[in-house]
Amino acid sequence: MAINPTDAIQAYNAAARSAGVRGVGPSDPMGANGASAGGFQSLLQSQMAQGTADPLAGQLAAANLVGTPNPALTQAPVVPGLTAPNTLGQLIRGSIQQTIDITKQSENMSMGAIAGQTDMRDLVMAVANAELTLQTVVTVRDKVINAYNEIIKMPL
Amino acid sequence: MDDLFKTGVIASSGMKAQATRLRIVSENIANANSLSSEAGGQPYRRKEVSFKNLLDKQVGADLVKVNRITTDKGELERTYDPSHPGADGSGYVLQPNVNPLIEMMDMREAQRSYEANLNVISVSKDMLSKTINMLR
Repeated sequence: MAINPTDAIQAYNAAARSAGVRGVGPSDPMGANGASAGGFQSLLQSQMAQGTADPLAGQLAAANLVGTPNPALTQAPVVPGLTAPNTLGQLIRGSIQQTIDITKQSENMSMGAIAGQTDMRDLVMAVANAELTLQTVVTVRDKVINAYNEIIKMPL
Repeated sequence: MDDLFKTGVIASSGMKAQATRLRIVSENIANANSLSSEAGGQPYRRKEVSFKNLLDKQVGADLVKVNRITTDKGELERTYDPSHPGADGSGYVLQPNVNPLIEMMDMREAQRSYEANLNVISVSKDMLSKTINMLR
């Protein structure tokens, strides 16, 4: 299936680093703990330039660290190199679309199995794949929502 | 496609192949006493299954496929039974060349191979689940 759990964890870690929340697995301790304001901001900017950071999280973190009202907060971000598929929202939307496709495939397989047309092994694999993909997407979604909640809780 | 998902596809192809093998074994065992109904005719001949590897372009790995189902050309035994409708002029009936012991061993082999593939699937599924659980 197209969703790779290892990739999902890496993508989450990239987003988590930019938002300043703790990532999972071997992650950058500077990014994980926020470290010093300057270090964190430069890390954030470099990630924004690479297109790995989410613009909303980046703006919130930048506004918090600089301490001055950011006029760009309500505007669309102009970040060089940040293309549409690189945003977290796009990633999640793509993942959910794939999950829907895989689930539909497993449903078709189940219908075929009831009619006695599908191989039992194909059916079991399709259902197991759908389950795992859904599990991945739901887990990533929960993590992302947690990250946003942590940002919202930050004293601005 | 993730390598662990590929593992599932490859192992399930092995399971399909072993399922076919078991089907052939069951045909052989069930027909161990199937004789000819015509005088001097041929009885049931034992079937054999052979496998081959097949490179799946989509998966990018070698899957197992049933190559051919052939009939065993081995010699047939003859028993003296003049009253049987399949008996030839001298009263002998040709018997199928099915050896129940060989079929039993083939069945065990198919079972073990199926279980091995099943274990591969369960390990790959377990590894995937544990990877996803890292996010929790």
